[in-house]
Amino acid sequence: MAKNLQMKAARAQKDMTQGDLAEAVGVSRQTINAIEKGEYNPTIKLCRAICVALGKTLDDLFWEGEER
Amino acid sequence: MKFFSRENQLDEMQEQTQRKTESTGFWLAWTGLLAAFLIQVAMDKPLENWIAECLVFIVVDIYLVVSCLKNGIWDRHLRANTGTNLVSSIVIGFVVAMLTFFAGYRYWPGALITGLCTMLLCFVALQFCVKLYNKRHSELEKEENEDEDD
Repeated sequence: MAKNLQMKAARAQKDMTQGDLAEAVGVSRQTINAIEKGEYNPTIKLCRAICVALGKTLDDLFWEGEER
Repeated sequence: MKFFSRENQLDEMQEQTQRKTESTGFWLAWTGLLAAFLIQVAMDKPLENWIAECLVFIVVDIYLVVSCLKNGIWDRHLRANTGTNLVSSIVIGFVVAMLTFFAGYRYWPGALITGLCTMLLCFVALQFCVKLYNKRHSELEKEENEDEDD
């Protein structure tokens, strides 16, 4: 699974640490870290919570198009 | 001081990891129990020594079989067909025959008959389970189609 660089960039834009995002969506920091590293495939429920927290759409953060 | 929470404290990834850990632990225990049981039978230990392990093992296996059939699940890799059941039954019959021969009085006709009977019983039980599985699987697939129609 590829690294989720879009999510990392979006988090940096919001000036949030992995811990901040984890707290905002109600998961552990290791889960956020695993998603960004492409080691864990989150459920659609968590994807949506992350999108809301970062102010992005599912396409922005989780769509694996050709550009990736 | 709080030491217990009714709510699940794990997030989805931790929950998945916990389940994988529990699954590995379960199969380790299952294999260990089977090994302990077989070793004791092979050493010709008295029934009282291994009957409890055997009962626990049977109860766990019944639970697994019933739960899988109820959910229309057979196996990750093995296919639910007569050929697979025949091969599985032969393997089980052979193991039981060997166990009976080496653990018993080295009387090969007895071991052979025990192995053949085990093979036959296993085959019948597996075929019966396949029939139940196919029935349940079809029911579940049909339910899904009905949901789609709504």
